[in-house]
Amino acid sequence: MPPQSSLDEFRHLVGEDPAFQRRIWTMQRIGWALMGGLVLAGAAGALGDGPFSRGESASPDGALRVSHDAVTRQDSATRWTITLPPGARQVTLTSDALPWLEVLNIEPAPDGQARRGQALTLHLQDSSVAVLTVQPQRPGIADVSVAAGGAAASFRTLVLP
Amino acid sequence: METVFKAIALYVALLILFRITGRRSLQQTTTFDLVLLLVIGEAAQPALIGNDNSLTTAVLAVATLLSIDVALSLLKRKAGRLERLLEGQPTIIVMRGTPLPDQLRRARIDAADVLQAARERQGILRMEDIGLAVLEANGSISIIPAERL
Repeated sequence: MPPQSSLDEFRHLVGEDPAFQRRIWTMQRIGWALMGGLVLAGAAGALGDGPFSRGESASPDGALRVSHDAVTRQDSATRWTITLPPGARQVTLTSDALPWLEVLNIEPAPDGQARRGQALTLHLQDSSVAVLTVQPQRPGIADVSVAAGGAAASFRTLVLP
Repeated sequence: METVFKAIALYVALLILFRITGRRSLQQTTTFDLVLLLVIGEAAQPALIGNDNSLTTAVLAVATLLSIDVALSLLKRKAGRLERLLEGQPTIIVMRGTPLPDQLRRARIDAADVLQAARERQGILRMEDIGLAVLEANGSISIIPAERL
């Protein structure tokens, strides 16, 4: 190894601050770990579109159930699968977020639907399951209440930018 | 308005990610790195302008990115510490023919990289003929021959 005094002199000449550089390298290593964590979280679906982002919500008696994404992304389609209580043919979704949640598709196609303010009501004839494909138009938190056949459930979806 | 905020967010995210990635990736730009950069650009582009293909949005996004770049460069001139944080600083990796192992390891550079730079820049073939090798802030390796120290 070269003498430390000589090394310090050259470091001064080239403008190297070893302590600062060590801190930068440490920060880089922490950054790599965070970046790796982000990639793993994304691969596991924790940032939307994966098993870790799926959520399940139900009414207290379990008659009304909603399967949804707990985490999704802006401009990405997300599916809400609503299982209605036996005999129920009408479901109402209420949310402050409805204005920026674009409903792209409803399966099966409802016999009728009505949108009043922050509520969307669907009339279903033959099916006890409705699958809504929804596309959030902006990031935020969507709190959605679902009511059908006297049962009610609510869920929350985090919309990432 | 959204375009401006998205451009700012994307600039900051890319700045942090590339700073984390470190200098080595800049120092040895291969064809694959170039392809990777193009793919990164393609991946970032939809988040920036979405489905809006208007000329106004494109100009606004580019103007925002360049404005942040100019603002940061002005800020860096005033704050040396910020400049070192964002740009990095020179690091001595070989002195008087002796590689500094800790520096090389942390900078993810090996002796072969140093010798390659020595050959390319100074026509030096042997490590002991290197007076000083410095990994510069821009990722290049400067070589000062032993006889010039």
